[in-house]
Amino acid sequence: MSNNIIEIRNLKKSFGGLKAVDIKNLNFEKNKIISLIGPNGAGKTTFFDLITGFTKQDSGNTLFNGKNISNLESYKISRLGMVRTFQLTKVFDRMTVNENILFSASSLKNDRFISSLFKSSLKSKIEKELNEKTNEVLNMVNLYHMKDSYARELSGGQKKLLELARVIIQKPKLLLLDEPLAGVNPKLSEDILSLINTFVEEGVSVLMVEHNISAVMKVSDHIVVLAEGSVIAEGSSDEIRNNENVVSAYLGRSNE
Amino acid sequence: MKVSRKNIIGLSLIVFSILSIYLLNDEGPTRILVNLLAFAGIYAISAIGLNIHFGWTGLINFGHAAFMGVGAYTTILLIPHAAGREGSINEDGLPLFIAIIIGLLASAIFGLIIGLPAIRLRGDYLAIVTIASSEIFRLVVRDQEDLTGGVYGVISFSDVFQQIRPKFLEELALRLDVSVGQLWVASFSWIMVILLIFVLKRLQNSPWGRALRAVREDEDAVRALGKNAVWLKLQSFMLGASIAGLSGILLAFNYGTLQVEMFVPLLTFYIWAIMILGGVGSISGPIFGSILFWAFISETDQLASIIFENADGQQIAGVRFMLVGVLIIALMILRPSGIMGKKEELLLDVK
Repeated sequence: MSNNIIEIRNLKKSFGGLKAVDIKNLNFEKNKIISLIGPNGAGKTTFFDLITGFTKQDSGNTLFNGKNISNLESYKISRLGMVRTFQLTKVFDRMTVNENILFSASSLKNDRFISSLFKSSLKSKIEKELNEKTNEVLNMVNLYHMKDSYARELSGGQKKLLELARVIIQKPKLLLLDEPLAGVNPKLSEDILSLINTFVEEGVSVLMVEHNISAVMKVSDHIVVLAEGSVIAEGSSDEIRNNENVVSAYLGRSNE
Repeated sequence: MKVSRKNIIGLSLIVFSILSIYLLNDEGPTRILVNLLAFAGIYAISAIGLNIHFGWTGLINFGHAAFMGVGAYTTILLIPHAAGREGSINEDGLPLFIAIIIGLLASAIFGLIIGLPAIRLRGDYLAIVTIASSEIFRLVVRDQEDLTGGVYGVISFSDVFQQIRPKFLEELALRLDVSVGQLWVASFSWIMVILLIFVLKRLQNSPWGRALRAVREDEDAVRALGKNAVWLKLQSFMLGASIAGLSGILLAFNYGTLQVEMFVPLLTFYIWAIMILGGVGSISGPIFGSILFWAFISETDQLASIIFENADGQQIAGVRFMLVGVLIIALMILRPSGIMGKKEELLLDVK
């Protein structure tokens, strides 16, 4: 059994003539914070879409925990334990914060039409448990006081927190975060980073795309640099910081 | 506080509607009221179905009339009836309730058949597919004269429905000087409305209802969280379709005849108007929307004669559309969330 949560083999995707992603061989170790950086248009989000099944690859394979998930539908991949967030936060605007998380926590069996049609003591017991779990998670991300507000009333940063709460309640094996710090104030960024660290301590692997380089350098165990769809470098923070290719393609001289 | 204010507005609109019937009609206002209640109840059922599609799940369905039609044709053709030009009575038939259940299933299956290829489409594209399917349904029914009676329609099927009406209605109808048949259709429809509201209230607050709302808000997020958005949308489509089927069946019993022209796209847009008036996404909204809508429709003649002297049929028909338009515009300005809708869940942003 390998120690990799994700293994990528020859993953390719083009849009028309544009080669968006072309990755020969890439492995992500379990229980680490791995960051994906690179210039805009490097294919980071497309890469996320590919491995989560939101976009179909042209060729190549993705293994998740040793299982080939290349042709699975996105919701099935998510059920295996690989859950993502989005670059532009996608909260359920016209539902309350509480409902947002309850929906995520609720099992497929609990969501069934027939069982929803009838009132049963089992049903209310399950909902009660879900509510308790939800409260716990809301306290963790500091949103408990906003519980009954509609999600659209939240600030941008709070929406990011809500999205985090919504995915973490599923206890995923791998968390894919697409720019979790974008548009978030420094204090909240710190909170989010420490939350991410807590997740990893609890055994979750994290893969994130992020442009906040100082944060990336600080928290990442491993960094992968994408440019024009291909991996141009990977390694620890120090290795990346001193890599000539990365500096010229992405970091720029001022970061030296 | 907010809830009670909503209810006060809704109830006063209903009282106003009913009063206007008694004020504007000198002859047989009760008869007109029963007619109004029958149509309002039937259209309310249909709007409740549409609300599951649009209000709960965000599916833009412009082919609602076809779901009503499928239910109506399936059920009516399964009970004793006379169809077509010759109109000979077909005495064999299934018991009414079995026929109704098959009719509801047929509507649901029709929803599934349209839904399977179309439901992956978003917004406006689904609207186009549904309105096209609804027209295809109507034209096929018109063409298949052997089976459906074509343009000649279906008649003589109301007996089985009228046989099950309670005896006391006859006395009541006599006393009120109204048609007992229509009184029974009206009562039955409103019983169904109440039953549906009872069931849907539970469904809306259930995990299933929550999942539908999540689909309405953001399908991608739903998929990312491991839920099958397509299947949820199909379920919503089927449930709403079979509720529409029930409304179609009752519509046929109310007219006493089944004509394919009953299911023109205009019907779909009436149902949309009722849903918007009542409040998109609200469970009891369709009741208020429907009564208000039908009060306007049935009082058009009187109102038109106030506006024009000696209005002819064409002018009245024009005024009818005008009034419904004015009603919707006024409501969208004064209460954009509809009579019973929640401001926070406003789906139609009028800007």
